[in-house]
Amino acid sequence: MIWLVGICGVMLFISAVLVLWRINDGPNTLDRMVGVDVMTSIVLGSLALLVAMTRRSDLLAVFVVVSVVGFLGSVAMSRAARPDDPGKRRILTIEEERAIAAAEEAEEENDDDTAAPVHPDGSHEEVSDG
Amino acid sequence: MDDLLEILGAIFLFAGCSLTLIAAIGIFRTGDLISRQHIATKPQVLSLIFNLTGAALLVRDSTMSWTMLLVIAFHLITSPISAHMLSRAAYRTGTARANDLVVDELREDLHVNPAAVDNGRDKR
Repeated sequence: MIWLVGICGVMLFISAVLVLWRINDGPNTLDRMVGVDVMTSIVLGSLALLVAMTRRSDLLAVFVVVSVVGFLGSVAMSRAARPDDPGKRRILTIEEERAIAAAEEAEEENDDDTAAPVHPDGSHEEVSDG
Repeated sequence: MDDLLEILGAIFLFAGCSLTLIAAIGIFRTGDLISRQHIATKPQVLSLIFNLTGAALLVRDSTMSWTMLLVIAFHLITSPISAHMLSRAAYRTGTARANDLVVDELREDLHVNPAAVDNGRDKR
């Protein structure tokens, strides 16, 4: 049993170091948040290892709290995400997305003047408000 | 019976820790955000399930087992939500678009059928 705990502890330690490297190194905030998600899982795994080693059952609330806090942190950070480019100040709205799409479309249309593309299933008519 | 449960719990713990290591190596090595999320959501959830099942099998306490089931169910519900939020933020901020996506259906919809996008706008 102590062998198992040692091997699992070493594996969890190595994975924590790798994920910490990614959190330090990740190009932007979202990459870091993916790393933090995996780090939450590593913390839960080492808690499970501790519980299995000491057979104590008073750490139950810690499991629930770590799981909930990990989820809330990830969702809150992704709501507050900003583009890395300092020229853009915020998440694009639908109109800006559409303007970018229209610009790209016009750029493609410059090459060949075929008819306007039609969506396979759809049309331009109004979709009823469900 | 107790020996069998001990061995089973040990196997579960070992499998969970191995999957955690695999997920960490994948997070460390892969190049862009979407593939990183693919790694962070699949082996991570399975390793969590294995770890908690192993702990529940080793402790063999009723409260312990039910709380482990609760945590597993909660994680199964919330993990797709946070992954969806992260990838949505990545698309909106233009992080994901810089990479070469093979299929980009949201962009096709933005091109051709803006009504559908308008319709879903209030429900974001």
